Amino acid sequence: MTDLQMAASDELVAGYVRATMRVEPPATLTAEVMRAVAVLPQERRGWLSAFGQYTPALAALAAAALILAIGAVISAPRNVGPPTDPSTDPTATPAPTLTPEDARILTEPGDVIRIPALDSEGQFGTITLRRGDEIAGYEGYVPLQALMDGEVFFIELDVSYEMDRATSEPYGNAEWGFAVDADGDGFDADDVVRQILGYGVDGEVLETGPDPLLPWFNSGSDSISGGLVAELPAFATEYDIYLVLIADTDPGGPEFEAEAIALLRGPGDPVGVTTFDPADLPSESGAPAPMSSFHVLPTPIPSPVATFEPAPDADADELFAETQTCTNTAMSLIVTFPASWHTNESYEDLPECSFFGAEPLDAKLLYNGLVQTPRVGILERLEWLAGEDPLIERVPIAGRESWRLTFTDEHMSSPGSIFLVPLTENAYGPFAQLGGATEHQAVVARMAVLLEFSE
Amino acid sequence: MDPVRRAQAGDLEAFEMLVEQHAAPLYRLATGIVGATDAQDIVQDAFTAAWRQLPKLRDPERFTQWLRRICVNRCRTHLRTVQVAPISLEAGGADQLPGRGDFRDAVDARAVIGPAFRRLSADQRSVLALHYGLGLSISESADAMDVRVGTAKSRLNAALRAMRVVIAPRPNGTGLADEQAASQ
Repeated sequence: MTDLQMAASDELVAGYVRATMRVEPPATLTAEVMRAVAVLPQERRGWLSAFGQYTPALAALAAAALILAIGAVISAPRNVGPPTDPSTDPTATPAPTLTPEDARILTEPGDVIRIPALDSEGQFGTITLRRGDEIAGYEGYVPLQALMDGEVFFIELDVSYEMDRATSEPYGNAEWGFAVDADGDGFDADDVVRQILGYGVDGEVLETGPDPLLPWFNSGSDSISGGLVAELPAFATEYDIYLVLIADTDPGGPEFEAEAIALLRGPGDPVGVTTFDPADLPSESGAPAPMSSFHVLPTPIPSPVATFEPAPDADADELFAETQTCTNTAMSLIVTFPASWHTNESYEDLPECSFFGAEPLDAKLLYNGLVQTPRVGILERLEWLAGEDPLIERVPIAGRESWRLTFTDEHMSSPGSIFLVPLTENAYGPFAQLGGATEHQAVVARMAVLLEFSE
Repeated sequence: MDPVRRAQAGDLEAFEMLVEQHAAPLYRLATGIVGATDAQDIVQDAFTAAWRQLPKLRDPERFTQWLRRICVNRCRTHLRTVQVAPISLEAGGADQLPGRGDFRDAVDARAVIGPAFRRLSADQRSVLALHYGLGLSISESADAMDVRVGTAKSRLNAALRAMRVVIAPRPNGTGLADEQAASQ
């Protein structure tokens, strides 16, 4: 695949994302938020966070104390063996902390620790963690992260939540992350990668991995258990790696908090790694694929109609009583649109005379897909691409046999018609694509009829 | 005193100003990641969490970034409750992608890309929504996802690659559009 072809696909994705996000929030949103927060107390700052804000030196001292504490725990005897009664297990002391003040050891297969499962009301159960094996890879599983990091390996754990009572807060796989102490200063928030564990980086279930996997997310009173798999970049083997229970009380960001941490692995060679090999991807191996059917052509191809007349619309006719024109030089098109409307200037690779609307248009915002005002656009499109089966007609536009595609599917953001006017003799592209918001369909049709080529 | 600091002190009117100021971009972000159906709940949840945690925000100047990060995390948590069909790497034929095109308003393209996008992971959707949807830089997107810049780049590349794999036709010549037609 060439860079140009890659860019084409990426442009499709970027355009889709921008279009999807051209929305406005419901008018009631602010009121509903305020109604909710009016009865909610705010949580006040914990002691270490407060030091962090006002006295960095104290925060550093606290961090140093934390490292010493971690070191002390690391040097303590390991709790190896089957789960023990929390009441007698020295590692089972509840730690409802605001910052990671404790560390535990899970460095050897079979190591077990138990920690309290906490919500805002206190302990609702007990979490038992059992260290599993370090795994070089899983047969048939190509982690996408390996495509970027080059090499990855895995560490398996068994996790169970034994419930003492129901909780309304989430618990399960989503609570976990890992931290790689690459800067060598001990565990801290900067080391945490909120990497999804257990289901593969891209949501792929490891078919050859632990079964069952720890559920992503649970609430209520169900005891749950299953495998948790850390997918780690190979470089992490040079550093301490921690398993982190992310505190649910913190929504993320600068106020990262760990409810509990456990040392998962010290520096040392991995048992093996999964190395990305492009040959692992079927799409990049073997014979070239046959011609794409992604470019769906209409079957049968409809016969062209002799003339095209927009449907009657008094408002649109009134708008077009006075018109103005502009030239889209990129496509050599003269566009006629209502005199009371506006068009855009050029910005980056967005040509002038591409968008039209009743309100003034900002080219930069248009380029970034940030303008919400319903509008009409005429854009260059190089390929025939029909994802669903619209009503397809052949209509004469600007002296050329063109296409009108009419979408009525309720899933479309802007049901209506688009016009594809061939820019060359090839009827299947490239095109000038003229379309617009549903409420401007009558305008679109009239602009189509008046469209002209400047050359 | 600015609204953030006033809201940190418990001033509801100041917080309402912040909600009005940030509701639209946050709603767009949530829509981009989880879809329009659940975006409102996500945004309300994010604002509620922000209100509760606001006193603990160390750097009020970074309120926007902090709020954005809360929203992304809420979206991720939400998506983890939903079973997402994984993108198979056994799709093929990436050589047959369109040569180039500008589909910013292509209604029909949405029908092809949408289903593939909805099969991306939460992290992949997030980086696409932040970078392409909100127009943030990779560094800003990384900040919103609470990851390093390199990780954000990796996720973006992985997301685009996954989409290329899905968009591209299968070795037998069928494409996503054909799959959709067959399922109807």
